[in-house]
Amino acid sequence: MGDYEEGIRLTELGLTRYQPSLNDRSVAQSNLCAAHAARGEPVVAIEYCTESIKLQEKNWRAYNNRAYSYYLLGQLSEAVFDLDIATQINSDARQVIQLRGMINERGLRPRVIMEDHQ
Amino acid sequence: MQLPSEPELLNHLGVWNCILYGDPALGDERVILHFGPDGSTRIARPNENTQRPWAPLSRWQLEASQLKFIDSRVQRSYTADLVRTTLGGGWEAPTLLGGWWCSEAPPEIAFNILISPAGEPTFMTQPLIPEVMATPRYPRRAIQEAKEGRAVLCFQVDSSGRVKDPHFIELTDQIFRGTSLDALMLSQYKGWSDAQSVDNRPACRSFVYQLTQIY
Repeated sequence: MGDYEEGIRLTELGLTRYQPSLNDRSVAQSNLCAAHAARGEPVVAIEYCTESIKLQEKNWRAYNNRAYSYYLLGQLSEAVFDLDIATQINSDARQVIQLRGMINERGLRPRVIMEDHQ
Repeated sequence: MQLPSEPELLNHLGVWNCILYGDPALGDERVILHFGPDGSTRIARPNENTQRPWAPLSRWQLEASQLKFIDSRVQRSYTADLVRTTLGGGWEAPTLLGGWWCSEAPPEIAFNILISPAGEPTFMTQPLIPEVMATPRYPRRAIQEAKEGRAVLCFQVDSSGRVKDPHFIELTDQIFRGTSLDALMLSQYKGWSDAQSVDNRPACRSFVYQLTQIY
């Protein structure tokens, strides 16, 4: 937890003290989103991810992080929507594939139908 | 240098106690097939046609390890890979696909004891009764990857009700192999101890793996 707090503090410091580029600001917002999600604050996280996406609409990490935040909230439809966009931008990303598996595990009910032939 | 040995082929000649499955209109059918050394193929349905139980099918043909014959009345082409340890395979009709699976039947079945004097079938009329049907767990990785599929296993049931010699007739994805086989081998049928000299009986079980979205 301490690491995330320090990360958040330093990232916010960087955003206010320096003049980061548009791309760096998008990355920073996405990192803040990930940190808040990891701290169990998905609602706050979603706001940062949305800001990040506004700045850089091709930031697949921001979509992935927001998808994870929705997953934490149990909003699986929204999570899948964002994850599909992340997949379109970077289909090979390990994080995207991993989150897809987590969402499927929670959102798909398995059933096995057996039939005997004799 | 040692040449790879040819696989030993099953001798299909003789009488076989078989199930045919996959036709939604007819359901599962229990039949007896006879393959003669002269190339003849005959089929008998134990609970019909008491006077003339045997009906001719096309002559059987062997292409490499594939046994082939046709039932022209229902437009089914049957194939079997004789590399397997027992007789069975698939059938195709113009709009349908199915499978068939057999266990070796006693030779006397080929001679007129198919139907009792009272007109009742005397052979394989009792259904196999499952005593334990183990349900496979859905493989976790298949859920994660949103994979659905189907497996059909055919096997022999011995007189104590144990499942023996399973073969996959259909398997849409290898991910379902282990769980299907594990569940089948944990299953048990009710044994039988009648006087008929039938050691094994054929059976098949299909497993359909489905996922339902719940959000």
